[in-house]
Amino acid sequence: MIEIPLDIFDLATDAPVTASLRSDLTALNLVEAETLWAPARFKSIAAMLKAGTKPKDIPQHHHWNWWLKAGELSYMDTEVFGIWHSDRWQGLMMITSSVLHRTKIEAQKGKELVYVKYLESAPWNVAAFTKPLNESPKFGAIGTRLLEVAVRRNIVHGFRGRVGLHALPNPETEGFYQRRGMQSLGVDPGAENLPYYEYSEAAAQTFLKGGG
Amino acid sequence: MAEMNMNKNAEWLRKMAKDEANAVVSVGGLGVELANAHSRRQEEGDPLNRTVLAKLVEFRRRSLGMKVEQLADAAGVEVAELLAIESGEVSSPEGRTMFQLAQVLKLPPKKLMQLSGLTNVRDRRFDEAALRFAARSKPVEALSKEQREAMEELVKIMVES
Repeated sequence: MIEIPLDIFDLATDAPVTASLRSDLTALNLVEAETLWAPARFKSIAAMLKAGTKPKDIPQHHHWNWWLKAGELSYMDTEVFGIWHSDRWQGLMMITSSVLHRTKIEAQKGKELVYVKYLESAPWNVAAFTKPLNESPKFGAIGTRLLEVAVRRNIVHGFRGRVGLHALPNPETEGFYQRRGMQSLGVDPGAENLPYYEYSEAAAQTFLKGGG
Repeated sequence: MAEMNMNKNAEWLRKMAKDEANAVVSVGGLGVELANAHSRRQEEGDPLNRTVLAKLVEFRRRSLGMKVEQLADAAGVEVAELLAIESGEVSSPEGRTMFQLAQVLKLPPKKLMQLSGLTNVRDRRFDEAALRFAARSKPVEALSKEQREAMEELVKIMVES
């Protein structure tokens, strides 16, 4: 496991705090994280239901049961990154540069890219989960940091910042990627109609330089 | 990793944290991929379930003292199709066939559907009984006591659950 220091935002002190970015993880680390993440989500969902939240209003859990099918996990061509702090995973991401995924933006169509298969911040860092428990999220900018890793990693691969992903279909998630300069290419019928987002080379550079 | 120079600007980080606002940022590609792989496997049929289905239909037919032709006739199923099911060659039998067979063999249709991969409900107790049944289902002329017991156990669980 390789690790480098990486600042995330501590919401309790309203200041940056140094975590560690770890790479060379495996799918097993995702399963390991789930042993903590899943109960945290269940606790929150139980509180939501108890408070009368209708099941349809519970945050998307499109792939939150992915680990039940972990036997199908392909380890080919994937890299897993995690942000570690306070003795637990604060966020995880799996990327691939497999030839199965190619760019879709017209100006750069058909080129290689880094495809983000999975990205998630721990439930205690997600307001939708902490609020029903009357708690505050612990750390901020986890998603931003992981996206930054995807883009920087991709530049190392020589793909000039071309990154693609299927976001969960809701304004909150999609807005996050849009505000970081990713272009919406509409819903993808080949991926259960999830909305597809992609970085143009220029937009990726703007994001890295600290622009939106 | 060494070549990755992460943004070290604290103000940028603060701005990004505020903007991200602890939103759900999840990405769904892996979920879709796994679901697809899972359903492909369902379509192909689980080989173990296929064995259990084959043996269960055969043993149940024999314990009811029926010949292949008789069962096919009573269930309105082609003899060739029934033979294919009993030999474990059919990976995805039709729902109608399974339903008809279940009626004649007096087995719960839902459980037979489950074995044939038509539904994908999982039940550990059922799976374990199916596994034990499969393990004891060596082909012999008459059903041994052990085979009969394993079949009865599986049928019991099928009826109960």
